[in-house]
Order: sequence, then structure tokens, then C-alpha cells
Amino acid sequence: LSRWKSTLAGGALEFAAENRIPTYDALFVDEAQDLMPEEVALLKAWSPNLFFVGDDRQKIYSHSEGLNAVRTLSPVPIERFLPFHYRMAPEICEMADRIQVAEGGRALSATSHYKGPQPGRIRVHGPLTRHEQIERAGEALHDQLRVYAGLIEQGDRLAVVVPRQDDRDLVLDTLEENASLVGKSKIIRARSGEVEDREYDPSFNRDQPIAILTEQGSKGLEFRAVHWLFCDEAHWRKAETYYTVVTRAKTRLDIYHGSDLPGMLAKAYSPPAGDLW
Amino acid sequence: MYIYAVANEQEVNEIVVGRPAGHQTPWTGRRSVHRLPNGAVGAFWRDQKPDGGPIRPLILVVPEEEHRRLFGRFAQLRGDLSPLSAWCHLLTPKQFGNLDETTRAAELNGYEAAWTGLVVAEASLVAQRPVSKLKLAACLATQTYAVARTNGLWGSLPLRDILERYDAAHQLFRVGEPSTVRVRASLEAVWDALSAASSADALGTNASLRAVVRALRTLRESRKEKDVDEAEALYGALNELSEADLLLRLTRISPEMRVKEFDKLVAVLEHEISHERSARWHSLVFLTAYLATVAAGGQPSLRLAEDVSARIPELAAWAYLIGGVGERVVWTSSFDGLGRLVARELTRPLHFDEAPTCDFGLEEALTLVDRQLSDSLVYLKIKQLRVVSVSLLPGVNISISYTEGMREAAPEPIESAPRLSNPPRLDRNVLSSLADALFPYFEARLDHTRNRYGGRKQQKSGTARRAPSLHPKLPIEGSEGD
Repeated sequence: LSRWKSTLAGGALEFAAENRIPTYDALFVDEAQDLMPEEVALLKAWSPNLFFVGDDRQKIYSHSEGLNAVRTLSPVPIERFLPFHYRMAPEICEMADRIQVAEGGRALSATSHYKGPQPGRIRVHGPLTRHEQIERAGEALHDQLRVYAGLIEQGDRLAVVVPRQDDRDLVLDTLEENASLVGKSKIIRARSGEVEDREYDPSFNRDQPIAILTEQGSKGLEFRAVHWLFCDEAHWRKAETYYTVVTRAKTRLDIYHGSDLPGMLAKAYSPPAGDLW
Repeated sequence: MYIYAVANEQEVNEIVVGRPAGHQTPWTGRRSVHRLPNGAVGAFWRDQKPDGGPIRPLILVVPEEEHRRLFGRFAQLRGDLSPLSAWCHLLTPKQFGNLDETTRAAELNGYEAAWTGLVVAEASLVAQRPVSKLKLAACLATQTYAVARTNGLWGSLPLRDILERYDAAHQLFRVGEPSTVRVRASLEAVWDALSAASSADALGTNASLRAVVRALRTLRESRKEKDVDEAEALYGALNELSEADLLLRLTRISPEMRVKEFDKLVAVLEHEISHERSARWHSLVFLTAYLATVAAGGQPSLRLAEDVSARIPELAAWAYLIGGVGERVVWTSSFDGLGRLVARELTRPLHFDEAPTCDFGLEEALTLVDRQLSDSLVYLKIKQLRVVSVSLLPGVNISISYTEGMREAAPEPIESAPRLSNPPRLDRNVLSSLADALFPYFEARLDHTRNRYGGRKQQKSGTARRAPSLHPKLPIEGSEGD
């Protein structure tokens, strides 16, 4: 994918020499950490005024050096750090901090101004079979649809995150068998570019508040509750991927596994303290 | 300067057409009002302008025993000025005697948002529609609105009196009970408790409601002081209820567990639903409703209460009410924008130096309705298409669905129309009215069709027809930042 992105951006840059690139007064670019250097150069050709937002801890594509590429632009860009955030409950922040801490040591939990539902909660479920994982998530989703109904009305969504694209269909089919969840879920993905996919609408839908998506597809999104299924079935993840998925949850994160919990998550997860006596 | 005059029949005839008459004195508040002699009417107007133009009577002070004679006389002899209550305030001597100013504030003592929530809840319960589908007229037609507005303008009148007036106003238009009466039994305790909480003295409150009145006041104080642990404070008011222990551990319970606790409380309520409405019942409903208002981890999840409203209507009513306790800012877009409109009407001051905003007053209408006529309302000269505004007391104007009333009043069931070879053409206005009346029923079905249009298959495969996008695309609405 990285190679394809580089090739595409490099090809588009060739239009610049022929003055066939449209120009814009200003461009605002999010998720800049995942840009390839060629893409940054292309953006520079598009507009003299660029505004990038990014976080290296959420870099999920290999070989992407977006923020470094931005820093080498001429003239040297002005760089500002956002010193606080509002999105995640402290419990989620603490787990994310145990996976990665930002440059300069600014922990998420120390900069959280979260005012949403409390308390936040993280739970690990397993080992469970694949079917059991989906069933368990379905039960929790049923409760979450009820308790977060008001927030869902205001735009909040729930998510089921899976490692592979094929898993999305399995999850959707299984959730649809649950009478209380029929018609409530939707696969959120990018359009494939194929002709038959043109009609696919990737936008969120209030009537289908459960989004089913891959780990990579979850980047840049946020959900009131996240159910991360089959998390032990992928071995290609970097710390940034774990960090990205964990930080998609605003209040509640449920992690499901079939065998051993991945080391990175086991290390970061702090089970709730039970009664001592 | 204002003038108060005591006038006999002849002098009243002069005053209503703009000519000063009667025994006139400058009005300086309640001390300047004297007892009306038999057969006399009081009149109140702003002093004549220097140009000598007509005076406009602002208030007629009419003793109850004079209603029939005065209203009937004008309807028969001066139909151009009848009904009087459409253009002039009609007050009893007692109401007028309590006036010190020409403006009367509507004071709900800090419970405006709570009353607003209760009005919206009743409208939603009666219409059996979500708040997003409600219109302001439905809220202004509720019993709660009548109770709250009366409390605000005229102090706590006995609930029975207000409801009798409410029913009498509906009886003008229809045979049978208004649809709002269906929820009355469930809401009476809620009105009583909220009226008591917002008055200075709660000692007269029904003993079974004392705990919830205490709870309402505690909650209000707690929110006013921005107490971070209002649930613990609330426990102090409800601690006679064994289930209230929940309040002590609420901050440690996740939203998903709160919904399970809510279900347990509902199960207890349903078990006890056939019992007498005791202090325990009221406290238990209050506790359950409170939980719904903080179920989403401190934020409301009113749907929980709405989902059981068919079985326990008071639960939704309490939940909507409790959410507003302690809230002084009532001009936000709460209840999908409806909240500020209802609050605006609830708190609107009554200006006696402006014309009334109702179509007519109840007292006059009761006199002028003539059941012997084919159009019993002919003397009321209704000029609204579907909804009329009837004043139960000065400034307490409720909306009544006029079309619906006439339909319900139809004496015989409608039979299938015989098929005609040459059906008559319907008048455009009739069709237009019919379409307007039916549209609310179609609206829900249209929404349903729209929702089906965005079905699962198409979302999964992406090969079906594209549904019209009703919602913004990424990022999610209300995103709090990335």
C-alpha cells in the first residue's frame, strides 16, 4: 500500500511540471503521520498554505514518515503541540500511555479534560472461541445501545474492530442473528474503486449505530465503546496499531481473544482491583 | 396613569366603545380597588391620551354572578364586540384586587426546566411519539402546561380546580374525554410533588409524597451548589428505601452496569404496580427515573424510561422532570429545540396593558356555547383552522385541537361511502385541510420507509441502490477531537 501511495503521488507530481495541478488557497490535512514524503511534496505543490495535524503514535502504515517530511518543508513550518484533549476517559488514556508515550513524555492521562460518561472501563475477555467472542460482544452491544441511546442520537457510535476484512462479514452475519441487534450494524470501509462498489455509502448512519471495521479502517475515528475481537489472531501489528485501536474508544473498551492475549496488550492492561478480603 | 372605573350596564356600553364612563379613580394598586356594588362591572384602562382618542379597556372586572348576563348581553346585542375575552382581559374582583402592577410575572421558583421537561414528557406520552416528532402546540395542550402556567401566574390553586377547568375547555369541543386524560392518573402525584417542591411550604403535601418532595429539593440544592456527588446527597432524602443503597455506589458503576440496575428496579416496580401508590412506590419511581437520567455514566439515557412508559408512564415523566431540576438556563436547545419554546411560554409574563393572546376565555365560552344550535360554537367566532387557544385563567392559554374535537364529536360512526358514477369534486380547501390533518400519520410511515431504504444488504455489499444520506459524513457529528 505504501508503495502504491508513493507511486500515485509521484505520478501526480509530474503534472506539476506541466502546470496541470489545481491550486488551492489553503489546505488542511489530518492524519499527517501516515503521509508518504511524495504525498507531502504533492500537497506542497497544491497550495502555498498548509495546515497539518498528526500524531506519530497513531502511525499505522509502514514506511510512512509524514511528520518528518512535513518538518523538512521549506520554509520550515511552525510546529505546535496540542497540550490537552477531551476525548478519552482517564482509564483508556492510562492503558494507551502504557503502550506508547508521546515525544516529550506528555502522557494522555495527564492531558485529559474528559467530561463524558464515567467511569471509563476496559475489560479483557478470553480465551473464547470466535463465535463466543462475537456473542459476548453482542450482549454488551445490546446494553450499550440502550444506555447510550441519547448519545447515539447526538452522533456517538459503537464499534466492533477486527483484524481482517473477511472478519467484518462474519461479525455482521452473527450480529444479525441476534434479534435485538437486527439492522443495527453496518460495515464501514473504504470504497474499492470497482464499478459495482460505486453505490456503497461509507457514511455513518444513526439507525445503524454499530460500525464494524478493521483495525486500519478505524484510524481517525472515535466511538463511545469499542469491541476489539480476535485480537490475538494478527501478528503484524506495531505498537502504533495497538495504540491507535485502544484510543478509538472514548469510554469503554472490550478486548476479546481466543488464545493468549498479545504481549503488548497484556502489559498495558491493568485488571480492575477486586476486594482484598 | 391607569384609571379604574365602577360602571353600571349603560356605562359599560360606553366604555367598551372607547368612551370613558362610570365612577373613575386613578388606579394605584390593590389599595385603590373597592368592592363592586351588585350589578356593577369594573373597568380598567390607560388614561386618555391628550389627543382625546378613544380609551381602550384593558381589563373588565366581572363578578361570577354577572358572567351570564354580561357575556350573553354582548353576544346578543353587540355581537361586534363579542366575545369580550378575545380582546380584553376578564378578571374576577379577587384576581384584580391582588394586582399591584399591570404585569404579572410567571414565577416557578427555579423549577422552570423541571416543569418544561414534564410538559414535554406528557406530550410525548399522549402522542406516543418521540420528542423529535412533537410540535409546540402538542405541549401547550397538555394538562401539565395548564398546571404549571397556573402555578406560575396565580400561585398554587387546587389541582382539582385546574383540571376541572381543563376538562371544561375540552368539553366545549368534543364529547368524551380529551386524550390527555389517559395519563392523568399517573401524573397527578408528579404534579403534586413538583408543585409542593416549588412552593415555600410543603407541609400540606400528601404524606406519601414527602420523601420525593424532599428528594427534589435536595437535588436542586445539590446541583445549585455543584455538588460532585449529588447521588450521595440524594440518598439522604430517599434512605428509607432499601433500593436507594444504589446511590452510594453509583459513581463506581459503569454505564453498562447501570442499565442492569435500572432493569432490576423496573422489575420491582412492575411487581408492585398493582399495589396502592404508597410512599415506597413514589420513592422507587423517583429513584428509577433518576437512574435513567445518569445511566450513561452521568449523562441521561431517557430512552430507558421511554421504553417502559406504556406500562409505567410516571417513570418517563419523572425522568424528564428530574433532568431539568436545578437547571436555570432554559433557552438551550433541549428536547430537540422544544424545551426553550415551552419554557418561553411557561415563563412569559402576563401584560395586562396588552390584549390577550387567547381566542377566548373559558368563562365566557361556557356561557356562549349553545348546544341547541347545529354549530354550538357559532358565538365564539373561531377563526383558527385547527387549533384554538382557550384561556383557563388570565394568561393560562391552552391549545385545543379543534378539528380533532369535531371529529370525535361526530354522533354516528362513518359508514363506507357508496360508489358514485359521477363523484362530486371536492373543494380545494377541504382537501387541503384533510391533507394537513392526515399528514402527522403519514409522516411516521414516510420516516419508516426512508429508514428501510438504507437497509443492511446495501450497506454490506455496496451494490444496492444508494440511500439518500440523511446524516453528515465523516467525521462523526459531535466529535470531540481526534
